[in-house]
Amino acid sequence: MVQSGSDREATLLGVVQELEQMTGALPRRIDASPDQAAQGLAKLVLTLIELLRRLLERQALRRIEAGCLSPEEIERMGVTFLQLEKKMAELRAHFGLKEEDLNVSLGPLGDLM
Amino acid sequence: MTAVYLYGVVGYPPPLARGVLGLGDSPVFLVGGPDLAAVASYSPLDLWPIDEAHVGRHEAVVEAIMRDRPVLPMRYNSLLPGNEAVTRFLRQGSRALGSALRRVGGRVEMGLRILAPAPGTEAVPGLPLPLCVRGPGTNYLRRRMEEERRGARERERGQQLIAELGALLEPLVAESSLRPFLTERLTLSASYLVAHDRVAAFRERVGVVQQRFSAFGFLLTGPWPPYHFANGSPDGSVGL
Repeated sequence: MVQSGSDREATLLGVVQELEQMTGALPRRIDASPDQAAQGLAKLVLTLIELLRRLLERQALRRIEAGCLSPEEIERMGVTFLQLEKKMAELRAHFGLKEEDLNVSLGPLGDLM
Repeated sequence: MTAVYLYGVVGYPPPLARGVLGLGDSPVFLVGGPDLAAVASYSPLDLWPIDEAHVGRHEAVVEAIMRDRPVLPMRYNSLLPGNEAVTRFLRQGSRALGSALRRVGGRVEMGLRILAPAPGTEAVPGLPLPLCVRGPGTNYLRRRMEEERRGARERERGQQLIAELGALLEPLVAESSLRPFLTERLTLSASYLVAHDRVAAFRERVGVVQQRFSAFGFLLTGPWPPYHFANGSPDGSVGL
C-alpha cells in the first residue's frame, strides 16, 4: 500500500512531535543555576505530585468499576480530583511549566509517566 | 591539534575509491590493515556541531562506502588523536569488529515508525451505572474513565498490530530492535537488519500490515547503514 504524500507528511509530523515530547520532557538533572533552581525543583516536586494524583485517580476508577462506591461517594471523590487537577494547572502556570513537562526519565525503564 | 575522525570500519583491502569528502571537506582515506581498516578523515580535535549539514555529511560518507562493501558505521563525532590510536583501536577490537562486520555484511537497516491515530472523543459504551448520574465530580470521573478505556483499546490494537507485523516480517529479517509504546501515540519504533535482496519483499509486507491497520500512520525509511546493529555483537561492543 502506498501512502499519499500528505498522509506521509502528517505521519512524519506526528512522529516528530512524539519524539520531541519524549526528549523535551525529560528533566535528566535539576538545573542548579541560581535563577533556574526553583523551577527545576518545582518541576521535580510537581512531577511526583502528579504521579500520585494519577495513581489515586486510577485507584478510584478501579473501585468504581468494582461497584464499591455509592453515587454520592463517586460525586464527592470526583469533585476532589477535579479540584486537584485545577490546582495542579495553577501551580504549573505559576512555574511556567506545561503539562508534558511533568515527567522524569528512568533511563532503560522508560519514563515515569 | 589534528585528530582522525572515524566514519566506519570496513574489511581491508581493497583501497577506497577516490573523491569522497568528509567533514570540513577533508578527503576520506583508510587507516589500518591487514584485515580491518577505519574509514577516516583528518579533523580538528573538537566535536563537530550537531546539525543537518554536518550529520548529513557523516551519513553521506557512510552511505558512499556502503555502496562498495559492508561497513560498520561509527557514531557521529567519533574522534581519535591520530593514526596510531586508530590502529590500536582496530587491533584491540579486532575480534568484536570482525564479528560485527560479518553480522551486517550484505545487509542494510530499515527503520519503521508507527503512529497511533489521535485520541478520539467518542463516548465509550458500558460504563458503570453510577457514572450516569449528573454532577461535576461524576462528570469528571466519567471523562477520565472514557479516556482510560479509549487508551486501553488503542494499546490493545497496537499490540495486535505489533504481533501481526512481527509474524509477517520474521522470515525476512536477520535481526530487529523493537521499542514499542515509547509514547502514548508512538506505537512502535523499530529497526530491522534486512538482506539487500529482501528489501523489496520487506516493504511489501509492511504495506500489507499498513493496509490492515489503515488508521495508523506508517513511516518506513531506509535502506540505511546498520547503525542499530553495529554494537552488542556476542563478542562485545565496537563503539568508541
